[in-house]
Amino acid sequence: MMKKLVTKLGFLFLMMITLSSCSKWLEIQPEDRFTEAQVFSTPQGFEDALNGIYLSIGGNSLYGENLTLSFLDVLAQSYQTSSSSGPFKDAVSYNYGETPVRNRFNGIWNEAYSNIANINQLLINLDRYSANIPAQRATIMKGELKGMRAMLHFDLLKLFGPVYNSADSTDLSIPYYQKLSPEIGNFLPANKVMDLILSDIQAANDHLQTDVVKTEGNSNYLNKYRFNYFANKALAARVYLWRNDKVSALSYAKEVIAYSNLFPWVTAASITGDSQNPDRIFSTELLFSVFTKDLYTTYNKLFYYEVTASDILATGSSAYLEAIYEGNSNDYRKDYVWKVPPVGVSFPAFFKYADVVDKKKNFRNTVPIIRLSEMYYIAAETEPNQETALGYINTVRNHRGIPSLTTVPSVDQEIRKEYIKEFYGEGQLWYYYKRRQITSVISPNSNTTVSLPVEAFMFRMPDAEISNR
Amino acid sequence: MTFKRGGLSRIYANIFLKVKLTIIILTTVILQVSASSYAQITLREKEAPLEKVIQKIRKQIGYDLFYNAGMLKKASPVTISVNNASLEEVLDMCFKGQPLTYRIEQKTIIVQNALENVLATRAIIIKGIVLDETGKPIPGATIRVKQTDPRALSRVVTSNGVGQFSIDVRSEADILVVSYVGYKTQEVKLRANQGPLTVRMEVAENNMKNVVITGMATVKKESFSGATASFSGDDLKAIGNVNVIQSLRTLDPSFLLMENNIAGSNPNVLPTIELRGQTSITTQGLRDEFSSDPNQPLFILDGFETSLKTIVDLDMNRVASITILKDAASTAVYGSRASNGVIVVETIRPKAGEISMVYTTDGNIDLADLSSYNLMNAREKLEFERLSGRYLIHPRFGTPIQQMVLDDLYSARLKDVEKGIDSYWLNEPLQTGYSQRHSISVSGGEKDITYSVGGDFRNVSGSMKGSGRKTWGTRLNLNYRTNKLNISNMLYVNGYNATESNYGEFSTWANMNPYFDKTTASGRYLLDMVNPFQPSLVERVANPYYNASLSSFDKSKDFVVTNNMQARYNIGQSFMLTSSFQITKGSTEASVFISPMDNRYVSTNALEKGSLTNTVTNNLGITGNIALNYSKVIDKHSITGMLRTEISNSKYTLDGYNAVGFPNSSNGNARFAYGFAENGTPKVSASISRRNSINSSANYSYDGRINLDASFTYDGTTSFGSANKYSPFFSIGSSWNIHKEEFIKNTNWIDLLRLRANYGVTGNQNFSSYTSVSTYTYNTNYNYFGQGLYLSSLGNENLKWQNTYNTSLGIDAAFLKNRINIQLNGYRKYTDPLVIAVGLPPSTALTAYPLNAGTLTVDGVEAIIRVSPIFKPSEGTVWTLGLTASHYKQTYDHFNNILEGLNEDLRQSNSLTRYRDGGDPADIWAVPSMGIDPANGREIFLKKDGSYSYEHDYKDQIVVGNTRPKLEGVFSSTLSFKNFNFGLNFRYSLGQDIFNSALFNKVENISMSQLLTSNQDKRALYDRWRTPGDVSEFRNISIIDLYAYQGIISNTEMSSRFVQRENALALEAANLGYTFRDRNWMKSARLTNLRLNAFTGEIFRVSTVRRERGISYPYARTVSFSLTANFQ
Repeated sequence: MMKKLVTKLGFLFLMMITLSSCSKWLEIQPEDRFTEAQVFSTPQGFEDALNGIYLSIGGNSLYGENLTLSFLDVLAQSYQTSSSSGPFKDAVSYNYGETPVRNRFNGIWNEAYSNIANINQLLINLDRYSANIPAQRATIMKGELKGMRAMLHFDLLKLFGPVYNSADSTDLSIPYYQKLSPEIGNFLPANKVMDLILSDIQAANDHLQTDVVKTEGNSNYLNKYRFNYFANKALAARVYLWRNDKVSALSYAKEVIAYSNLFPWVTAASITGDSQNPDRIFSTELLFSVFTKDLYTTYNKLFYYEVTASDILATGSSAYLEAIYEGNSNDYRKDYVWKVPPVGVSFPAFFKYADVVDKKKNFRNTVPIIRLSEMYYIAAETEPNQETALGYINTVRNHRGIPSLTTVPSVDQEIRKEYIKEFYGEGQLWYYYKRRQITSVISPNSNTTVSLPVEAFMFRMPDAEISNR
Repeated sequence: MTFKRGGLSRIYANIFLKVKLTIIILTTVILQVSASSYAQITLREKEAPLEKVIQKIRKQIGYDLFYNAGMLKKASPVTISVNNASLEEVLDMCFKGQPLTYRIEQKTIIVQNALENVLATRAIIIKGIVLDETGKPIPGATIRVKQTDPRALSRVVTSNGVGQFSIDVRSEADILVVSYVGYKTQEVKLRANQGPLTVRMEVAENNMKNVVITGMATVKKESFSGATASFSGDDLKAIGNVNVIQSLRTLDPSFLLMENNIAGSNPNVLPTIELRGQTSITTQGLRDEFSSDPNQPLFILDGFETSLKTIVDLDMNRVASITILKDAASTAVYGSRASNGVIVVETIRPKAGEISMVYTTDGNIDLADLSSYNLMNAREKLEFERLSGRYLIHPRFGTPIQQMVLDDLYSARLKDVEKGIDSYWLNEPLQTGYSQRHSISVSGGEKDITYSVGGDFRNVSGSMKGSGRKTWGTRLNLNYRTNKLNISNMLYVNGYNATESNYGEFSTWANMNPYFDKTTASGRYLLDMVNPFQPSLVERVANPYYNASLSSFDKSKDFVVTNNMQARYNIGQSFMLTSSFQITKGSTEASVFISPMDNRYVSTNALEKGSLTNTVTNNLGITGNIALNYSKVIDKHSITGMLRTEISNSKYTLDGYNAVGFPNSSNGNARFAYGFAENGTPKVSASISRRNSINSSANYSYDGRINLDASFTYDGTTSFGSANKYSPFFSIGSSWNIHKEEFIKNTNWIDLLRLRANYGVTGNQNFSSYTSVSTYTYNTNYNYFGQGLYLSSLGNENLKWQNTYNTSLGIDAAFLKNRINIQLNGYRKYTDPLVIAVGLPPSTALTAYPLNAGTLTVDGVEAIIRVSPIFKPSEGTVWTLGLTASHYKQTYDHFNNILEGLNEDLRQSNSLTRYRDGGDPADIWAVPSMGIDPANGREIFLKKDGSYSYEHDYKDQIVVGNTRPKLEGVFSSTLSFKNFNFGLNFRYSLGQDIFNSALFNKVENISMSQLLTSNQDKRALYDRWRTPGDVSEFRNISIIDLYAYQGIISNTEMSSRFVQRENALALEAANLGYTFRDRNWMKSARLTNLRLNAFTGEIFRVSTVRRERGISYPYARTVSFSLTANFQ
């Protein structure tokens, strides 16, 4: 019996030594989270990781609110905003040192770079685990990712970088990350960042050659929720325009315009036909947008007509709206978007992002990021021939239910007016003002104009960004 | 009876033996009677025959005499004159120079020829082996024959290298006395035809000081080079009966309990413990829900790792010994878990013998100590409000009508105060906390099988109403042993029920304004008034009784089953194989319910009123190990060695949810919730950690003089990078027992003088399991493509182990027959690299990235000195004075500014800590203050360039103090006198800097709204600046002064003005005890021992700094008593 026990103990001893030397045993798989190896073992894992980025850029810090619905438009003086109370009191008066503003800056910066980090890591994993995903799908994904990386960096450059004057700016701007690592990226000159953005766009373009959007357009409503081939082209037009390379900007804008039939203009029927479910964001025209689950919560907080008059984001008296929409009746962007509500505030409230009755409408929860009309405006701004340029503007006007312009003193002035009308709640006006270095703007906050301090065009980076270097 | 021995003497021999046996039995029975007959002999004889003298002696003491009459004729006559001499002394004189000698056997004086001494005795050779409690042979044990004859020197032998001995006895009825240092002396009765003996020694619990229990092995302290401290269960219980942690703190200077000023004496909050300083930076990023404080020592209970919670709840009566392992030589076998030191707790094992029972009851009384509070009374508070400008309109925006309203308010309050309303709120949430513990254990068994069963129950009620903790435990220990095999199994089932006070935070009560009448307080609010200046604002002061009266609760429940099994098997003489296996399963459930009627829900949607947060944590741990031990003594060389392998797997899971919306009359049952919190998700996490290791250690001792230690451990764990799963740890050490050297041996005043030194590397694995692996989680969001995965953490595959390089030196000395005991230790702990979750610039998206950065050095000295001015252990009278002291210094280095991001976070959260090269973890960083400008009552700051400024700028921050005392320790006096013992232990701490938050928050920094809702420190009224020319410590008393609209920030910034130097003295523990033994009345109750003890804890404390201690829960003064009864 004793001998048996000794044998048993000896066996146990041996077994333990074997186990001790077996380092596989120490490789554990977590249960409440996923390791990279687990995630990227199936094609669905890649899809989920990609979708994680689409979901995240639709959050409130980025395209779900700050860069579209509220913050940038407040800065562009689009809404009547109290400078003594409410969540935007410091933003509207450009008190960039105040905590509420700093928090928004930090939110934009941190979230954008966090998404860039996710993009970079997914790009690495697409190569590292390439065996687990069909090559064709991987290529499209890389295109979407690189395009988005360019877009996020570009928006950061536009917000935190210098005013990009006519000369190719060499002012230090932001870091550009192409991989996720603890290595801290240097602040690069703005033109260097531009080069990197353009090279990412070029790479994305190469990857997206077989994108189904080229044949489907928005007939498949899902395409606009991906950074597709045309979103990338449109981004290129934006970037070249920011760099003041009008020729290139025009050519990219025209490339998209050439396919405008894939992104059909909003029809009168879809906006006026069904009064309970109007498509107020003109979803068929969108080249790129985000699906924001919390859109209606955010909407109710910012724009809903029962929000107190001092805090609601609106334009106050309807006279202001009449002025910016130039007295045109039947402008889809005014009559169906700005309405005096039955109860609550006594002036028009902003209904662009209000929910519709039919919860199955597939334009719900959507926030536009790039729309087709912007390509027409870019073309108009870069087209040397004034008549052709005006033609681009008129195309959009006609699809908004208002008549063409015949002669104008300045095409640029008309473009500016159209930006104000077209991009309410989409943030693009702020970029326009910064690009054009416009410091005196029309605003519901004043009877005449409000002046924008030129320093306001450069956002402040988070303290942690500076102090941690 | 006198036997004359002639030729027939051999025939009588048998009869004689039988008689002698009878005598033995009789003397055993009437021991006390015979003890009295050891009376003194008085004798005066001149030239008398020896026979006559001996007869006289016999008559005086009643002994039998046995001699051969013929023999005595050879004797020379005796001259003797003694007074009250002992028998031996007298006989020695009588037989001096005689051809005869004598011996005393039982009560018989036997006279024999001097030569016959050897010849006349039949030599019986007894052989045997001496084994320790683990079955290991003990070399060098002393074996002697029990007898009163002091001349029987030849019959003392020691066991050889394998524990064997051989001794001559003269009678088969002899008793062998086996003794060895550190063990209880054993008496073995021989039997007729005695075969080879096996003597098993039991560790003497009162004598732990001679051995070191490392949790993996028991080593002789004499030959060990590590710095350790051992305390027996009795040592711990002599300090106090609360828990072992509290007692250890008093006993050892390197075991430091960090002050928790927030939690005070809350019985449900675990203490923070550090042993010889820190080795880690505690950043949240590296820890998960299940990892413990990375500066906390490792706890080993009966050979297996355990949690601090288990140790705190451990029934003190179960503890046999606690050993603190402080340095590399003693801890390196624990490898990756060892860098903060190891606390080894051994519980009492069952003993063979008759059934015995021990019952202990402990009682504690907790009384809140409010002496640190210095709050205003109603009149003072009202006066302070008046002076601060509470009843004055705003100098710019106010109107005369508003002033009238304020005047009315003031006179209404004043009227109340004049009426005598002066509520003392502090005592409202308090109670006298009565706690009790009952502990019982029964043990017994035959030689082969022993058992013990026991149970304990403790009901603690804290000093705040409703706050309490009930702990309970049961156990069953079984032990089976044969000659070579020893198997023991220990099964524990224990748990606790903890409840937090429904009175909430103590600070709520401390903040109440004294001019509100507490006797008439009812309803939700004490004050519910529309602000006369801003009608939209309603000023409300919540009635603290209201929330306390609701059905809200915060409680947790815990249940743990643990089974330890150990087996030992002796292979031959030198080898022993041991193996143990533990399985433990635990479950903790915590529920926090906030009643829907709670004030915080006043303006909440009805469907969201009330909240129940429920979390269930489960854990399952399995650990197994197997070890081979070797020990051999060859002449003067003694070698011991151990080779061990251990493997461990533990899994934790946590499930929780938050339900909201309860009906008003709800009792907190989740069944009645309307739903889950909006956007709330179930909280689920799980963690598996695994570890495997090979440990080895060896000790070589030459003649007990020069000793060498070495150990090597190869550890693998899941805590770190996949590239670094395994890491080696080692230690080497040596000690020199100078007192065993020839040149010291002869000096009779040095009992012990040992030098120790060792060096080694240990590690720390109290980090989250996934620091090395990049992980993803689903974000709680969806779109048309479904859900999405998001990178939740980027692992650092190349993360290196946090290694601590320990150097330790020490001297142990004892002089003047152990009247003076000194232990001095010096150490350096150098941790390189630290593992820190570094906040990189947010553009890298890595805000808490685990990095190897920086180093931490701890340099320290500690001393334990004990002097006994009265030292008569044989009479039971010992008075000992003790002094312990500890000093250490910690320094960060090699950060190279990589942690400035963390520093920024710390600054923003108003923390006074910074991570900078050359800094100390306990440094206080603040802007130096030059005091208050007497001209205007504003604070003047010192800028870095030496200039003065009213502006507070964070860039001017320097080190203005250090929260660690320069010197800390305990001085004690213990007196035992017969059955009494009396002990006093005073803790002193010198040169500690404190940021006095009472000054910061309750003297200054009082805003208008705080004035309304909170009482303040008296110094706010008496010591603040009032008029130009006042030289005062604190800023202008006026709150709505001109500052606000001059654009000057009116709140006080943290500056050196609030940092104060504290020297404190506290009576940490005092005890008085009495033990009843051998009383007649005890016998009838089968009582063998009855001990009564009374204790006090922190009964008084004096400090040079007046600050509020115990913010959320008050500190308590404790008075306790304890009764222990042993039954046979």
